[in-house]
Amino acid sequence: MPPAIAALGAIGGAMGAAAGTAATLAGVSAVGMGLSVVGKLTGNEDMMKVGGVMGLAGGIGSLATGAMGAAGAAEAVGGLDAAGMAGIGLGEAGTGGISSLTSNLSDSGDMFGQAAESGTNGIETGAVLNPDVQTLPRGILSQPGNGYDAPFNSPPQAFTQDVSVAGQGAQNGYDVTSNATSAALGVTPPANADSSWYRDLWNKMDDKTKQAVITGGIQAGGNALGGMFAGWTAEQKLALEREKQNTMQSNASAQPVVKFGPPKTGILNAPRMA
Amino acid sequence: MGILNAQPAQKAAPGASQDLTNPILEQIQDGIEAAVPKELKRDYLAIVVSGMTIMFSKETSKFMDERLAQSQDTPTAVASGIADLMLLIYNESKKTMSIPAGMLASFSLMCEALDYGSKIGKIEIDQEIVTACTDATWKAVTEKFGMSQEKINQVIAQGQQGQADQSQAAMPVQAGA
Repeated sequence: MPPAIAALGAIGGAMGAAAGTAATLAGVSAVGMGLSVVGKLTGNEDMMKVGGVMGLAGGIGSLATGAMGAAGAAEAVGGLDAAGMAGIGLGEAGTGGISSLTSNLSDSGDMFGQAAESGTNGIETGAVLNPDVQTLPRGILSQPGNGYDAPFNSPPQAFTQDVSVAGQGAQNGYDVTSNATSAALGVTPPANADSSWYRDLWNKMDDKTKQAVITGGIQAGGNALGGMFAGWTAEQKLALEREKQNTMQSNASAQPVVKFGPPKTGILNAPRMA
Repeated sequence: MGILNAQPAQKAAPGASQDLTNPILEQIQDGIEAAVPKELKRDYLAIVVSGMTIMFSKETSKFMDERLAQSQDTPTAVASGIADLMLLIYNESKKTMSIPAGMLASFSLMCEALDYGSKIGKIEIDQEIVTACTDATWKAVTEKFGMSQEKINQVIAQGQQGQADQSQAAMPVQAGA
C-alpha cells in the first residue's frame, strides 16, 4: 500500500472513518482552489497562501484516494508559485496571518510542523508534485497575516460520519461524481444546520411556487443531482441571467438607487401590484 | 466564461449573455469555472443553476432582497445567505449534492449575489468587500456542512502528512536515478 494511502488510513482511524476524511479532503481542496483563484485575482497574497495550503493539502490527500487530487494540487501549487512562495518560507511571507485556519491554530502551525518533521525525516513537503516546491515551512498557518485575517469564530460543529456506508459510493477511491453521494461518504450537515432562513423560505412558498422552484432546478424525482440536471445547459444559465437582470431592473426601479441616479417614476416604472 | 464557453456557441443568442458586469466578480467567476475539475463540471453547473434559480426567480428573489436589506454587515449577509442556499440545494437534492462541486459553486454564487447587490445599489464592489465576502462565505459554507475549523485543520495536517509520506516514498527512486 502506498504510504500516502496508509497515512490516510491512519487519518481515517483517527477521525473515525476514512471515507469521511476523503470527502473532507476533497471539500477542503475545493475551498483551497477557490481561495487561490480569488486571492490571485484580488491580489490578496494571504488568501492565496491559505488557498494554496488548503488546496495542496486537500489535493495531495485526496490524490491518494482519487478525489480532486490532480486539479486541486495543481491549482494549489499554482497558487503557491503565484504567491512567490515556492521554496521559500511561507511562514515568513505570511507576516500576518492567515488566520482563516488559525485561531485555535497555534496548533495548526504545530501540526504542520510536526507533520513535515515526523513524516519526512528532513524531506520537506511540496516536492512531490513540483520539484521547484522544495519546502513548505512549518508553522505558516499560525503566523499572523497581512491583510487576510479570517478567524474562525464559530464554534466547531459535530462532524457527521456514517461509518456503515463509508466508501460504498466510491468505486475507485473517492468518486466525486453524483454516483458517490456526499452523504454516503460521511460529510453531511449537522442535524441542526437547517437554518431558520431555509425553513422560512420554504414555508412561505405556496405549493405552486414550490413546484415551480422544484421543477425549475432543484429536484426532479429524487434522483442523483447529476441525473436530475442532465438536461440543464448553459442556455438555462443564460436564461437565469436574463431573469436576474429583469429582477434587478424591477427592484432598482422600485426603490431609491444610489449608484444609478434617482428612481424613475411613472406608470411604466411603478412596482407592479399583485 | 469558463463552462459557458465550453458549450456550443450557437446555443447562446447574440447578446443574450448578460453575465456578471463587474470586472472583479466576472474574473473571479471565470477563474472558479476554469478551476473546476472536469469530473465536477456538470455538478458544479447544476448547483450554480439551482442557486441562481432560487436567487433570481420572481417567486424567491425577495428572500435575497430581505437578507441583504436586513443586515448592515454585507459579508455576513452574503455568506450566511450563500451557506443557507447551499444547504437548501443539498437538502433538496436528497443529500446527493457533490460537496466539492458545492464548495466551488458557492464562490460563484457569491459573485452572483454581490453582483446583484451592486446592481440594486446595496453593495459597493471593491477588492476589500470581495475578499471579506469570500472569507466569510467559505467559512459559513464549510461550517454549515459540518466541517469545523478544527476538522479542516486536522485534515490539512493529515494531508501534509500524506504528502510527506509520498515524498519519502519517492526518495529511493530519485536517489537511484
